[in-house]
Amino acid sequence: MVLVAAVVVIKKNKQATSGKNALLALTGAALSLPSPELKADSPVDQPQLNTQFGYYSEAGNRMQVQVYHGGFVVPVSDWFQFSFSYDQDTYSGASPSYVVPANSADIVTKASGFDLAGGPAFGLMNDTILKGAFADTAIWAGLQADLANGFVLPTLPVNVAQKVGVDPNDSGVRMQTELIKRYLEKKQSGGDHTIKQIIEAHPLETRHMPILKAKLFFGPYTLTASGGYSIEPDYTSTFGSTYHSFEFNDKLTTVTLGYKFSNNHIFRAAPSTGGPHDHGGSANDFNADNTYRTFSMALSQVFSKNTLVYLSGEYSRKRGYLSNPYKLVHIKGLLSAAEYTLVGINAPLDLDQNKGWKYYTGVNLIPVGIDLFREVRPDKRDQWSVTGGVNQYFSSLKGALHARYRYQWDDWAIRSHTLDLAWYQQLSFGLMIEPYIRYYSQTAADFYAPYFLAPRADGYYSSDYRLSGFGKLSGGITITKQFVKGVTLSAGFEYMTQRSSLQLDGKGSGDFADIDAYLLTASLNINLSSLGGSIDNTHQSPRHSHHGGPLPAGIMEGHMLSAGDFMVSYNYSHADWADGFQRGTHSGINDQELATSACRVISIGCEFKSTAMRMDMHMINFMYAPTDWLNLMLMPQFAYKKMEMTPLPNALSDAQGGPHENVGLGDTLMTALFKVFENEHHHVHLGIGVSAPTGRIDVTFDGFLNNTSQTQSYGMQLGSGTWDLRSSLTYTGYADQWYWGGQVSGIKRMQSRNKLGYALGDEIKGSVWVGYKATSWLAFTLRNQYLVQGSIRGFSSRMEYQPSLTDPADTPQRANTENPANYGGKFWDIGLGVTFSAPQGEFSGHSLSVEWLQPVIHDYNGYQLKQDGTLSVRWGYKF
Amino acid sequence: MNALIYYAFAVLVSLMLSACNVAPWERGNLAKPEMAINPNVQHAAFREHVFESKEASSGGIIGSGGGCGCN
Amino acid sequence: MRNSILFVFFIFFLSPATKAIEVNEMAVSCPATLESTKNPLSLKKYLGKVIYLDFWASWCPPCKKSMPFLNALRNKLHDQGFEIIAINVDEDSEDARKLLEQFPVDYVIAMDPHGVCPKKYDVKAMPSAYLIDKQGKVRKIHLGFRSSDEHEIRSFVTQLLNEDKNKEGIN
Repeated sequence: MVLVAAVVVIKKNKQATSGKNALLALTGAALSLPSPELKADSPVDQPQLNTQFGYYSEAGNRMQVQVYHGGFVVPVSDWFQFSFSYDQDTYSGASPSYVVPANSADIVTKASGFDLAGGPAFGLMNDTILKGAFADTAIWAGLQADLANGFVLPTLPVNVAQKVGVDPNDSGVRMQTELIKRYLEKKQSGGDHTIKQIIEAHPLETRHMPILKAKLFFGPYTLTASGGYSIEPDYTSTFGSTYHSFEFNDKLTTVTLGYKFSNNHIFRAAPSTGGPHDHGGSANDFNADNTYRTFSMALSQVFSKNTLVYLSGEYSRKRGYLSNPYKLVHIKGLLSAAEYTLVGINAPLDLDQNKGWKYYTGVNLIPVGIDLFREVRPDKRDQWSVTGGVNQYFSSLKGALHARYRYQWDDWAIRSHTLDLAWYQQLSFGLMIEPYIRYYSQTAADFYAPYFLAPRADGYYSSDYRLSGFGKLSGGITITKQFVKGVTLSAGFEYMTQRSSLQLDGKGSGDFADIDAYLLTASLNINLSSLGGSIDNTHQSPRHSHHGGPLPAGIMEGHMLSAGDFMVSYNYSHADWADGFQRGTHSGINDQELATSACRVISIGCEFKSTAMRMDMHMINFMYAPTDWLNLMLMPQFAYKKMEMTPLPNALSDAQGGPHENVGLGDTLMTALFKVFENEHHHVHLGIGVSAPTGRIDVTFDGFLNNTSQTQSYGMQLGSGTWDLRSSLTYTGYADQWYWGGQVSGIKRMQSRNKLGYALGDEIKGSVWVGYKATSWLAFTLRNQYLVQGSIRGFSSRMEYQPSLTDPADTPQRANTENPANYGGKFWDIGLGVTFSAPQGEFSGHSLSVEWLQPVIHDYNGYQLKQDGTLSVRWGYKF
Repeated sequence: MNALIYYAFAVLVSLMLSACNVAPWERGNLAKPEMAINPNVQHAAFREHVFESKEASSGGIIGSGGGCGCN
Repeated sequence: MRNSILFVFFIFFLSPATKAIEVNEMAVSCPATLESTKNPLSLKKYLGKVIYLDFWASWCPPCKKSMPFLNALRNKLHDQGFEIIAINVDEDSEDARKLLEQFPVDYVIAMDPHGVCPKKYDVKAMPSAYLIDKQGKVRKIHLGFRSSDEHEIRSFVTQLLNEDKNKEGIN
């Protein structure tokens, strides 16, 4: 049939004398083949939840990144699928800031006192340079001797001198200039020319990225559209993409056209100046924009029942500020000793500060030190890439080979090769193992050099190793296990080594930038629909029948699963503290009392008080029942905490207070539940668990992870810092529509002190509740809870303001939150809850519970903000 | 040069249209998750993110196709 | 040069012609093994019944999606003379058996790992269903499966079941 159609079309096009026409004719023939109405790609067959944890770490205490990813995809109808994902990355560590020849390192330094904002450093040039120049007796003596021999001090550059307001013949300034010039020449010559990278520490930063995606399926055409944001303190991005796929040729061929864009804002945070509780001065000192647009085209073709081949091309257009606001470059010869002396030392303070070095010297770059400038990259970049790959299945081996090569080039003279090879091996027991390797090589950008000994004509400079020439080799392995009930677990490890010598032509930009790193990933995917249940809807297996009713959302470890069941639940709780202070049960504490009595050292007193606090906890609970009498639970959690501080009226310092927040992984709980007793109406189980101190307790106000910065207060940290024993005993009972229960649970800290020298108090909690199942899908609960929480033992000096660390003359900035005695208490609350569940149908196994826990009588240890109440929400899926 | 490009393209197109005759019921292996262009999307996305932040290249890892070709 | 290009095209286009089973043609038998008895499948045995001949595989998500619906339909209309024969085309029949262990069905399953049956029927899509009337004639070919197809399939099967109801005996 195909043959006939082709012949007919060619015969029709009698003028098919040119090959081009014949080709067009044939393509037309292929596309016009009467194909039965073949619908193409279709949505996933059931909703899925996917989560992933990733960890990246560079050798030598450089960058560390933790990535938490969660998302779900839902097929809404036969032609529409929608997905949402949320990523949270935490970055910390250090990265190279600039590069110098080793002998210049102590001269070319950011700490040479220049204003980092890049304005004219009026009178700020480093004392050490001046002092060094004047104190070097050899230079002084040499200059005196030369002067005696008739050496004439050079005059100052007239235009610069005039702008600064200095007489070009001023002998004092000319002397200064000559001394400094000779000092710099002496320090920068001779000796060791090995290249040295100067590494700069970064404060801890968190990035959030929500992405929404929709896929629409129209016959052989599939449209994918997505959009999202990426937000971190010094970078925000708004991005989106659309992809259009066409399947034809019996769905053996797919063509995809794509367009992606992102609009980005780059900031640079200025270092705050007033100490940890001063948030008045942390404005951004820089902001700029850029846009990326990418056009792509891809073709994939099934070559045989075991072979898939694909080819794609991409063009990327980047415009705007494309430099890195933190990276610096060492350039000799851009500014002279005279210019440093005139503008750096002698420019009058009252001149217009906005004019900057460019005004005085005509130099476009922003100096931040002697011969040290902020990097400047071109404001446009056009990148092209071509990628080709093959996937080949080997049925005798039950394995597949993936090979892919990408070649990329751009107008910055960077060319790169990427080769990826992976083998996917199916093993028994639902296991798949994937070893892979990757080789990458890039050439350097034409404006890249580790440092520059002379200025460049085009004015572009960068010493960012990411633009240098290097090769990178990495190898890794991922193991995936598929469980019967639609649960897939996978873990992977990859090690990568970046070496200048690994560049394809062997040259590279120098091994000073060589670095190794490794990646760890773990992911869990869960199918969320009861397509995993029985085909015949009349089957109702006894194990799925509900005994009793849904627990209040604020109760954890309250029920057990039957053998073979899994459950995953997402628990959210939100708590607020505001409305003033309470000591014990006395409210209405005034500022005077806080100032004198709330802080740990009475003689110093309090300067700051907290005015509001908010805590959001996100807990993901994975539960599995290997047997009927034993259940295992794993619960990682994420916390978001925010606190507002205000200076007390009698505060001596002029710091302004403000909000600070903390977000990240909390402690991880691992629990085993043991069934103690069960009959038709009653059930008792015991829980024994351990909380691992995976949550940080050393998060600082300035974000730096070092040993000296002040850490945020006890209540703001993400974990306890200790291994804790958590036990519980739960009783539940039911009769027809009514159900009830009670739970006693406790937390015992198993270490008397954590690494910072304190331990949170122990806890014991008792809860009783009663519930009523109004319908098969709606239930209400009423709960009574009493909690006793000990205060903090020990104390951490790092939580308290240490004036001597910054300026001995500084006044203290102590706050009530730093006093360990102000934690814990006895709390009586009442909880009201409601649960929606889906006992049958496509969504069976899902339930949503909400509970509000209202404080009745709270007896606080020491001085604490009053708690407003806690909202708990739980979404669970049992399968 | 042009003729060569034409010839290569013609062979490619005709290979596409006929030599790869895979019947709809023979697509079992292509439907396996390990034969997808990106079998583990999350993992691939994480790796790409790491590489893009440390190298000067980006992208090129898109693609759809293959699979079971079901309706 | 151009002629040789055309020649190359012609060579590549010499695909073997297949004789498909079209609507209103008689259903043919093909070598598949019944899963329950391990005997060969014989369509002749089902003359007088309305047959839904389904080609399916474990790797085909729409096939899996159709199973609950087909099972329910078969059980509802079985004593009116309706049967579903599902020919599995997995190259490794074990994959099909594993799926059936999790989702058992009551209709007839036959295995054809070598793909002879779908080739005979020139199956165009996965899944494909051939609705065969009481006389053994293919009356409809249904390609693919979407939830929106359920109504259409149910009414067509019912229509076929109601045909020749008043006539006696088997033709």
